[in-house]
Amino acid sequence: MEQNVVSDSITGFKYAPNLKDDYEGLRQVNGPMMVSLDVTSRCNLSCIHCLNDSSNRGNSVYEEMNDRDILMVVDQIIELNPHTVCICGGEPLLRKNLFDIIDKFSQKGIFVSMVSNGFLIDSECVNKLKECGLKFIQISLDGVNKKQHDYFRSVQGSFDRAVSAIKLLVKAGFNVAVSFVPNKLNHKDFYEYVDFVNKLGVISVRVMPFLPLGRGNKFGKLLMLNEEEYFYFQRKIFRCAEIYRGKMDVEWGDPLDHYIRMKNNYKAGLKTYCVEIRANGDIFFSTYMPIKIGNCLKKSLKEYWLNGLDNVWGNPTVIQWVNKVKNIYDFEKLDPQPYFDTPIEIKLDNGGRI
Amino acid sequence: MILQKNKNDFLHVRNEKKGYVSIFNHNTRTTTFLNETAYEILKLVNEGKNYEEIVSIYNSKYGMGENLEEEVLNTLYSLKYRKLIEFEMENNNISENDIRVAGEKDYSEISKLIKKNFIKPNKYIYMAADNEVYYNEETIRIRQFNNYEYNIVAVENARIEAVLTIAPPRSQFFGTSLITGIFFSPDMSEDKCKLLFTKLLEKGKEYLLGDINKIRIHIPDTENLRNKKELIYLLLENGFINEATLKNEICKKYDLIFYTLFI
Repeated sequence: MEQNVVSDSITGFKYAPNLKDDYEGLRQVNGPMMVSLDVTSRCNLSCIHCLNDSSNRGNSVYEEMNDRDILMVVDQIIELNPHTVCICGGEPLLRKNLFDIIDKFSQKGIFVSMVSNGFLIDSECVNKLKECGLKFIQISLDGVNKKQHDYFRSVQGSFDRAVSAIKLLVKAGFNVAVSFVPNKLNHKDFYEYVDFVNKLGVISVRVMPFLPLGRGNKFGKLLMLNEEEYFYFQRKIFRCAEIYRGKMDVEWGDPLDHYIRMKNNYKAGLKTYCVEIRANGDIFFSTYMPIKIGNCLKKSLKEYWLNGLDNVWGNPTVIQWVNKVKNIYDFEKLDPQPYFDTPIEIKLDNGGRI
Repeated sequence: MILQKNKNDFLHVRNEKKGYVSIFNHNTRTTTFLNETAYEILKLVNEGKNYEEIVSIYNSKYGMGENLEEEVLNTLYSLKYRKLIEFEMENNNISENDIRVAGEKDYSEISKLIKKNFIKPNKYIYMAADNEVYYNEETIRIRQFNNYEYNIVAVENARIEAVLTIAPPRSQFFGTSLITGIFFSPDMSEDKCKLLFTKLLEKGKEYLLGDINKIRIHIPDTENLRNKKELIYLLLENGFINEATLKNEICKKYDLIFYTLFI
């Protein structure tokens, strides 16, 4: 689940659409602005809402690449020179050569961010992350107490470890964000939560709705808020955003936003700005769409980009899938399911553009 | 004007097609795009060139075009807005004491200043009502006297040089003040207008503090508003953000863009 909170917000990709050069610039890009790289599909927690179905066993659809292959993929990403790379998973810290991967990106001046549950972060780990040049980290924290967080994350002690990680990271000077998924257990304490993380020193709170995808669909749906609960919860978010303006960002992320935005961007001639690479090297362009366009171990990312990945949002199959999802409940009807089932592979055709 | 590169920020630059570059600022985590000329000007600033030198370089390169200085200045403001460079404005000798709320003796002069702008408008003026009668001495007074619109003035050598009018919150928009007018002497320099606007706004915030959490201004999205670009830069520079657009407002003639400063 960590990944989907991140897909649009952690990039920090904010462009001002009222500025002409920004629009024209987005038509002329030589590569994606952001690449999200799943370094593993294994996870030490077993969260109720996880859309990736990550666990100790890893994900059967996306077995992870070996050390040599993943470094080759890192080189492919560097060749396209994106501004930001987000290290995702699974839990990225379970990847043995994680620090080498981050180091390679930061050596090239690329902004590297990471998403973690914080369980494995101790002082030694913080030092290593600092040394290898990580710039930004998002820790998942789904409540103000153990009862709320540990139940949701299915592992005792995960709340204490996450809070400890945040303290260590803030102390070391990292920019730390937290992600929060509202559910029946935690939504009433949101004001308390925002106050708590503000005192911990985080710079951003990223909130996204509970999605009926992956394990969230199979096991967690009973924890989803109903319409009225969402209504009051959203009011709390906007109120907090006002109260903490200038001190800490409180963001309400819409998982459907990029569906609408990218479809319109394509019509306006703008290129794909985010590319995702799964743990096995498969290339995607949306977390929630079970459509892959190839694999980095077969052809380089640059080849895919030049052959139509830049215009993939105009592909007829993609448009068909985009039109299937009008609200978050439509996700549960998707067949195949993202992450759970084998994805559809489409042939790139440069989006019909010459 | 003293130009400085933004020393604190680490920038990741990528060349795009047709001379464009995209720039990612590691500190602010924002991406911005520059065209070829803007990027060239950014490089000149980073090399330590000042405004006059940059204008002279472009002058020798392309010849003295009519709008050359204005184009360079606009580009510099655009770079500043994107937090890629910093400006230090020249000192304009206006002290804090010269900025104050208007009183009974001031309405006549405020009216004259505004009416001068009907004949020769300053580049940065903004008026909510395009009607001279609205700016008669007595109507300005009635609005302030009845708590409908405040006039904050900048006084220099006992003369009113600039006015910012702010409507305090009404019950239906609790917490929001509206800027209804920005006026400067017609011949005032651009730098001075910008400096005075910042000071007037600061004073306005001080007066209204406790009653408001945002100040809004409505910019009509129409070709008739000739100084729209200048106004928008002025607002963005002072922390206003593009909050929303009301489509087909004012008798469905044009859109209204809301720029808002959150306090």
